[in-house]
Amino acid sequence: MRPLPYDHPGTPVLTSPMAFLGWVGRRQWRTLLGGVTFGVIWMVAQALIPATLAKAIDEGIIPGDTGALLRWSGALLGLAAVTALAGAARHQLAVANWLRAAFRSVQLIGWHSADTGEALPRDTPTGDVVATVASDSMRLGGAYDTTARFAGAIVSYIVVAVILLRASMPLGLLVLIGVPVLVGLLSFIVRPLQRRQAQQREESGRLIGLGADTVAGLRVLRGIGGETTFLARYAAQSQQVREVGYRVAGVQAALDAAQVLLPGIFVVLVTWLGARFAIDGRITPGQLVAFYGYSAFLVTPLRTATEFVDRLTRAHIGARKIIRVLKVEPDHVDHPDVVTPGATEPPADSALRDERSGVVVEPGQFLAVVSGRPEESAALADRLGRFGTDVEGVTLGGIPLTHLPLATVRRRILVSETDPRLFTGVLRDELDPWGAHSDEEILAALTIASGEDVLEALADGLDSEVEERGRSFSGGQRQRLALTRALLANAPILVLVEPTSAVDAHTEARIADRLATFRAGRTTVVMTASPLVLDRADRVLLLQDDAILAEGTHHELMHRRDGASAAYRAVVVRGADEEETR
Amino acid sequence: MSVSAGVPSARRTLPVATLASVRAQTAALLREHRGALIEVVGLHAIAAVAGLAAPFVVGRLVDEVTAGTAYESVDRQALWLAGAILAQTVLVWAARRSSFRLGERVFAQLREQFMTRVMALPLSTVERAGTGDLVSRTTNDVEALSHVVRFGIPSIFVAVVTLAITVAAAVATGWLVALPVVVGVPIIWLSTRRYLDRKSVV
Repeated sequence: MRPLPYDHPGTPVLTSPMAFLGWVGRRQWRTLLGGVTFGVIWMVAQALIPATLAKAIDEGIIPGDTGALLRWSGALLGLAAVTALAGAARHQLAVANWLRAAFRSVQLIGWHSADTGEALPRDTPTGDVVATVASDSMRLGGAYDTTARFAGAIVSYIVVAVILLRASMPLGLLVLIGVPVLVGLLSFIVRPLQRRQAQQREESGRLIGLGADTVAGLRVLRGIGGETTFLARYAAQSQQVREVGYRVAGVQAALDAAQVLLPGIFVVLVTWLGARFAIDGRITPGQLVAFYGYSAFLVTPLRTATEFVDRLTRAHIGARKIIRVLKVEPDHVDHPDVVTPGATEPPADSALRDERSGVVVEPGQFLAVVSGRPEESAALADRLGRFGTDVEGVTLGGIPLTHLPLATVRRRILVSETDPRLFTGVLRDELDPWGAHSDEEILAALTIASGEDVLEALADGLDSEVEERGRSFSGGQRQRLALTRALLANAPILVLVEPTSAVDAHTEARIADRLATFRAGRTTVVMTASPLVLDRADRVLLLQDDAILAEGTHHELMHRRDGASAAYRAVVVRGADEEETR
Repeated sequence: MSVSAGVPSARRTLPVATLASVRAQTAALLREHRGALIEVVGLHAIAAVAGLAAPFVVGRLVDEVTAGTAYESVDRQALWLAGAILAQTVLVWAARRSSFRLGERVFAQLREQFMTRVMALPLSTVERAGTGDLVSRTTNDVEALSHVVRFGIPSIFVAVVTLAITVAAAVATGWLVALPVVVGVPIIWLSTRRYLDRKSVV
């Protein structure tokens, strides 16, 4: 059996949930076939046991034929052995079927979310995407899990039908029709049960929320002495959940009792009629035992069939949700008629130009862009890096970015957002995801970002674990670590959006100095309003309403006497004031 | 710049109880709910006895049919069977209902107790443990425990009663019949051991 995960999950058919389920099934037809084969053997072997027992009674015990009894007993032993072995194989393959299908769709979602990038969270709430991995994929797997038992159930039902109808037409019909009716009746109790269970889940969800709130807000509760009030509320909700639980208990118990009563009535009917038939000699005593056995046995294949339908329904719902995620189009794809890979690569010293605003990023320059509205410069950064949906009009060496292969754009231009995300894992791998740098190089980059103190505080240095979203670091620490990560990527064109917004002025000055030196000779664009950073830039632009309002060095703009530079000073001084209050 | 959380300490969840304290706690819990527990177990046991009536009656029917009998006798046996099934139905209903209710009671008691204790813990301990650990203790862990109360304990007793009566019936029929019942024991014992060993690794 091939190990998981798959090297490549494949290109799924997304036309309909059934088509998707079929596609996933075809990818693993070997394990499916294996499961079905053993499922059939396993179930048929069980189905033959009552008939064999009947033979042992009729041909062995009643006539007192020891040889025949031993033969049929041997056959029973054989059937038991086959059941056990085939059962084990069936179970193993069923689990494999479940996991293979589930993990294929998990991988599909994983690959697709990496491909679509920011288009996915914009289109589908993150929680929904997580749910497709955590629950919908598992539900989808469930349908493949039951295929083995379902196939066994169908075949064994047919086998039993033949055996019973050959023994006695009326009794056979009674069993073959009665059992499905029985299983159908049980579903009448299942529905109210599910309704009450849903109610209980809702109440207990509320309780969990209440509990989680306390833990999160315990600091506040302590402060205002609200613990008792809270505990009383928690206890009241807890009792509410118990109350609903009591109601579920009643229905659940009724369902359990019905599972005794309904088959019970049926067993009484079959045994009673069977015994009468046996007195008449229409069936043998052994067959009476067999009928009794089958009236109990057939419940299993029928339950399996209902379970399969149930699982298939869930899988169908799951597949629909998965398809919705997989159908989200990435913002940027390489259109084959526009992009010829590699052929149009602009030379290394090409200028990056934004037609809309007229901003030109000259090669090798340290450019700073100031805007009264930070979202305007952030939008420019997105455009320069071909992020988001609004990407027209940006050229590199005269070639529109949209005409370049996305991989080329990503390799040459790196945009680091203002609130970059740190991921869970060992710090070294988070700073240098490609493992391209030595510890010395990482430490050097960390020094440029003025993040030495972050490392000093960590017990395990670069081997320390980064917690979820880097939560254990302060905002300023996170920002400096993310800057380190961006510097280590060594992109020819580096675009930083407010890289020092969360650090104090001294640190900011240090970073600005070191950054200018480190990036000397390479192209760097910084969106910022901080005078400390602006002062280090080769050239400064003031952006307003998608146009360049003022241009020059920070020094020039601070001392020039015209309206545009006055506007520049207004933005920069406001930035400096915020600096003070921080 | 905030100076909090300079050291991203490894997440320290609340401690897990030792086996001895788990035993003591369980014993206390069992003592506290002794009455309800006896009721649950008793009902399940009687239900299990009623459940064994069917194979017994079928056996008698086969014997009678083989020996030659009249319709009346068969009808009488069928009535007995119907009676046993009805009794089992009522008993199962009562037994399940009381064990589910006991489960809910224990469930509520445990989570409320837990929350009361959490409120009394030092703030730093609670915050360090994190929301996930605490929430999973009031939900998954308590749910697992109440599952034992609802299904685990009853099914052990049902199994014991069924086993005892089956073995007794087999021995009463003849010691040779009882032998196969025992033959499976080593296999079951070995496979269960193996399963538990493997499971504990994971």
